[in-house]
Amino acid sequence: MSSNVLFVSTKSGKAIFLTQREVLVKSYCSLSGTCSLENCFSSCSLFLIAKNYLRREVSSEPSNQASSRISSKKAGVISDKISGQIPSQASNQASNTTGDKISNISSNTSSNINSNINSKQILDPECNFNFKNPDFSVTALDGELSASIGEYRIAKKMLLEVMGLGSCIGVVLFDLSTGICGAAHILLPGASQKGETKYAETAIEKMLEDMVQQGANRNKIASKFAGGAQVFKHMSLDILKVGNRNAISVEETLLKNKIPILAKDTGGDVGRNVIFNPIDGSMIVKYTKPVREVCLWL
Amino acid sequence: MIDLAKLNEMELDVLKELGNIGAGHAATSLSKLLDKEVNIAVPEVNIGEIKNVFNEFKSEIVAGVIIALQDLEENKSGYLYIMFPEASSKKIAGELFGLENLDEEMYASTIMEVGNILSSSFCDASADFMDIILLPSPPSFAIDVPTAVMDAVVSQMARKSDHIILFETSLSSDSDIEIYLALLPEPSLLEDIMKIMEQL
Repeated sequence: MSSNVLFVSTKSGKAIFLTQREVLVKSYCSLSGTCSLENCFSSCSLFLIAKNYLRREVSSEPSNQASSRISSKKAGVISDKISGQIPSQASNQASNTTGDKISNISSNTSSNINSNINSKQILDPECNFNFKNPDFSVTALDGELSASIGEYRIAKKMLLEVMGLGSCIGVVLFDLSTGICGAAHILLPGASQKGETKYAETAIEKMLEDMVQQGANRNKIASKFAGGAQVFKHMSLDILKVGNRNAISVEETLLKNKIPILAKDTGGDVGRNVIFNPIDGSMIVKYTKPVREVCLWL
Repeated sequence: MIDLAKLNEMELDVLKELGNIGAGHAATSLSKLLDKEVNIAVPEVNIGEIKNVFNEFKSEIVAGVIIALQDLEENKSGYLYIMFPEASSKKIAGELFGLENLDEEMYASTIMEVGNILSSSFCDASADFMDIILLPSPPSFAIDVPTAVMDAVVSQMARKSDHIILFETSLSSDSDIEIYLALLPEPSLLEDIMKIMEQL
């Protein structure tokens, strides 16, 4: 089942919430690990904003002050224009580490909430939030898209995911000016004679070409990548050391094609999940082992 | 070279039988080791595209042991992948030592040894009953989500083919121990199997 994806950013932090039928199934927060709040769900302003945004979407359909129109893409999807204003409580966030660089996202957002959802189940009954504030913004994405092994995916306004990376690498190319982003799940170093996208060079160059064809501005495309770990503690097989070679091959390909590398997180001994947020171009790296329950926002 | 995507029923059956015999003997060894009854699930052979292989795995942490298999001419025959869900691996290590908590190093080394025993009996059985010689490498060990553990091996297979054959079965014991066992054959193992079939 597909999730509704909501991206919330404030001066102090950013978070992505995935909900299914009004129930939170997953969240990625830039403050995780550094946040001093003990309970995310009752006291975090990011969470409150998302909650109120969702409730407002659902409950205010008939008498919406903002202009609402039916999106042409999907029937029953309500596109909503928001120009809001904030109560001061919203940015009381205790920590202040990563999220300082708030992107200047336009406050016009379109949302993707099904109209027949019964909102009251998890949401707070009080709805006193006003979305007229430059201090934070809420954006609803059109869903999530996962690139499986040896594949790349290109989308606009979708949360891109590359999950379960061991020695593999998740490469993201993005052009924020047009919003066209791509993510590749790379398995092997080098290039392929047959154009197979499991090889680093082939995958990156094909994805680049494809993105330009879909309208991305070649000169504005930048990249981020993560992965290439060495998860084996005890190694008897040299062939398992492919992670490092993957990372080198990806980097060389990006340099060769003159794509700026804005962030990378490679090596180590822990598997990773890579999630890319196309709204502000941040790559979230989540380590698979709970020992380090930290999201890196790059 | 044999195209993995185009195997016929017969060839798959032989492969399944090889896996069956191997897994059966691995189960016997496990049973002796733990002094418990061990059940073996009905095995399955799947041919799939590499990109779809991992869709069925959950993203829970497992302890994975990987053993490379070679034949006498040092051709790569394939890989054995033994996966212990974290709770099971802790339990096995704990039961073998009679201790609740083992330190990290001891735990890793115990699971590797269990992997070693299982893979050795797997290979013994295939040699005894089918005359297919498989020499196991020393085990490599990792704790992570299944995809992350397996992708280095899969990347080796991916050099040759877009498809992968997975012989899967699981061993379980009444005390909530579960072990997942997979054989990923390389084309050269299939060639060896074919040779033996021709002699019949």
